[in-house]
Amino acid sequence: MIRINANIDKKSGGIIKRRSQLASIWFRFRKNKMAFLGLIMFLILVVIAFAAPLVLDYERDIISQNISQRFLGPSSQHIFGTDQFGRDIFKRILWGSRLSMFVGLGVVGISLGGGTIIGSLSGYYEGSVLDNVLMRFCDMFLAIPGTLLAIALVSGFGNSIPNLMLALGISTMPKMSRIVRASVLSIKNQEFVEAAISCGTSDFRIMFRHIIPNAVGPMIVEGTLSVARSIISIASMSFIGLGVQPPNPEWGAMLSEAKAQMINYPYLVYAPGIAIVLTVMSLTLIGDGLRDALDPKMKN
Amino acid sequence: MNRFARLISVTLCALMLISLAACGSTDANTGGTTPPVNDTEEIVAFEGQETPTHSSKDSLIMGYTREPDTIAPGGDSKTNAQMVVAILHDTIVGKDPADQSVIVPSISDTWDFSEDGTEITFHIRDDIKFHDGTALTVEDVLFSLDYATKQGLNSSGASILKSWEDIGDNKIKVTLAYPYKPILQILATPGFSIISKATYEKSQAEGKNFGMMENGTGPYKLISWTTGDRMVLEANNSWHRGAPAIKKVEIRLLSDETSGGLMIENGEIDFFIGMNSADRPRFLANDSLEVINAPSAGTYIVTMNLKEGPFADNLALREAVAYAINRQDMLDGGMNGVGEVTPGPITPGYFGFVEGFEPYPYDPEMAKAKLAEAGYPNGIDVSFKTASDSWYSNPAQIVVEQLRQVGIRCKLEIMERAPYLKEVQEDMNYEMCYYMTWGDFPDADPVMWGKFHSETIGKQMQNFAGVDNPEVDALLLKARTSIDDNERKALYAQLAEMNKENVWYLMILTTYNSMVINKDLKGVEPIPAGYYNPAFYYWE
Repeated sequence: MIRINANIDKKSGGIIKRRSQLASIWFRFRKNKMAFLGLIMFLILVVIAFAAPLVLDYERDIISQNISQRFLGPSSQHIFGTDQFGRDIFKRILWGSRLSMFVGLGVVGISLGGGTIIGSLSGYYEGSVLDNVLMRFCDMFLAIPGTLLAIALVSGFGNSIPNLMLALGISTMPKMSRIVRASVLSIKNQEFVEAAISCGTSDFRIMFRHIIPNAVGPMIVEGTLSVARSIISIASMSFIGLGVQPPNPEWGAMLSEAKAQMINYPYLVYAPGIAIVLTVMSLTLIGDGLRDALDPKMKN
Repeated sequence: MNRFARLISVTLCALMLISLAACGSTDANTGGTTPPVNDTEEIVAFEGQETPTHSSKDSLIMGYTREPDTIAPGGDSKTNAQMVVAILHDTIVGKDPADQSVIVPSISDTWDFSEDGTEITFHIRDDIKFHDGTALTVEDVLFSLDYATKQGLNSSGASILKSWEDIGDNKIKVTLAYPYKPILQILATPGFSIISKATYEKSQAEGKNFGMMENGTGPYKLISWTTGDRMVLEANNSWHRGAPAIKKVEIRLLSDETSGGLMIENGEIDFFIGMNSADRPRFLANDSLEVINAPSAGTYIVTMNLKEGPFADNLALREAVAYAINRQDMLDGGMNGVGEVTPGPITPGYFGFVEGFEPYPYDPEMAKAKLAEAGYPNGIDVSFKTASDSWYSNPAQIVVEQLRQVGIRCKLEIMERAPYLKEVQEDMNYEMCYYMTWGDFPDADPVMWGKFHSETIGKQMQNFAGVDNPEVDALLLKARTSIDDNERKALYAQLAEMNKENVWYLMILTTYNSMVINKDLKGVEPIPAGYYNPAFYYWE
């Protein structure tokens, strides 16, 4: 099911040109300068995250300590200085991007996967017992503050990176389910779905071939913004000691370690703080840009 | 309908604007009245400074970084908690505030040792009253001994006390299992505080938490305790050792060391315990603050589980750990160099400290060889638990890295203190851990007995490695009951040597129990155990 927009491109002199949906989204997105800036920042981070293990050795560069090199301020040798165990902060920040990206995307993967299944089932069978049960469960989870729920789950499951991802994923899943359900509800009464039903297509096929591909817009927006929120959640969890454990260079954990030395060596908190801010900002800008670009009411 | 809705929303917006404006104006009002209040305060302070020797100031604000779980004696091992217990209660005999090794009268004004040293007769004063006004009786003292000896924290002292009875004429007789001179020191620790039997029974009958009910005889009474915020104490003016000069003490329960450091620098608190060692140079440079150092409070120890897991019955593996540890780096990197490295089980400055005792040297190559000898040529994965406070987690991170260098890969688990104590020190559910133990008074006996005697296994802060050796038990008993100082020293030296040979505990470092106070506060003497008592302080 591909819907084609007919657009008039002014630069090409009023000749009617067909542009795929994807291309028109990209066109709208590119016109939003802030969103584009966010995308570039995010791509740089992705490159850093992938390139880090090619340049750095985890054991040699990231966790090896050098007690004689403690608290060296920023210099040409150590761009962001060294921490209380004499480790290079710059290298740790680079490596930390891997953890933030990995956990952030993992969390969104879990919440998007679960949310899509729950949301589309409950939206498609609207008003059924299944819908009621699923949505009441979501209401229950939504009633508990997300961070509190994640803390409770991590304490229950035990403290490890997969459990952290699972806990944050579960705590963001209800919101995602609701968003998916809302879009499914708006799509399932459209003519092409009715056409599919009249052809005798199975419910499963209708849901996953006809409805979800058309509901993907809001999911992408919410997913992008929720990566940003997850990165903050991971950092907060690590900050209070429930997230990534030392000596892993997670940004929130680095902030937490620097906290005690903050007054004497303020540069310790700058680097991880700025890293978190830039990553979250880039994702939020992308999310905002995507929301505008995916909005069907927006003109090219 | 639509118009009606619009009307309502306009009205609501208008109301919000008005209320915002009203808030603004009240803020402005209070803002306007604040400066005069400040001015008067400044004047008062200025007048106070003009009379140099005697300050009219009679209140003290202390800052703690950790909150007591309970104020019942022997209930909470935290130094801060024990200190509060000591401020609120009395013990049978007291300690001289200037010299902790001198025993002075308290609840008991006179006492006699029997000739063989196994019986002590205490005369209990009959003019002492609890904070609720009831008189202290011999029965309360006997009940307090019953209560204290049941607390896990007191187990090393409890093993010496055999029986206690009322012999009439306001006297009690305490019988010891064997002659033990430092018994008075033990009875003067906060864990052996005197409590009211009636209050305890009332708490049990009414199902209340005894740990939150205060009725001691000490220099201060607890007025209020707001969990997570503060405890307010008021002087007991009829205290038998003299009315305290400081009439009101407020204990602020702070969230972390850093904020406490800022508060004392801003003058918001006058007395701060639990400072961050990184802030120390700043406090030393500050003219209005004084840093008080009490040496040798607690010894930090790397411990391997001797009961189960890879370290039990594998001496070569334990030796590998011993060779892999660089104590000086742990002190410099983990404690900012505040303290001293500790070679053997007896803390420097304690009776029985072995001069010139050498621990295993730092030798990573030797450690690797021992690891191979232990049957792990490709290294080994173990778990390593410690508590979340920075003074545990920072040195622990360093030792974990040192061990990784030789092939002992530790999975560091940083736990909250309460589950840590339960899991590691009582249930002994760990492979390696890093923690601290201390002695209430500077003698080798409580330190050694608590760590090495088999009867203290599984008791909080005691023998958590699980040393279970009849020969050691016999030597400990011999050293405890001996009255010959040279013989005791020789026995403790022998035990220290055995600890080294068998690698039971790896003593790492001893830190200073330092705190920082407002320099106008006088009468503060360093106390190694850390039980500071504002009853003896005054302002200048």
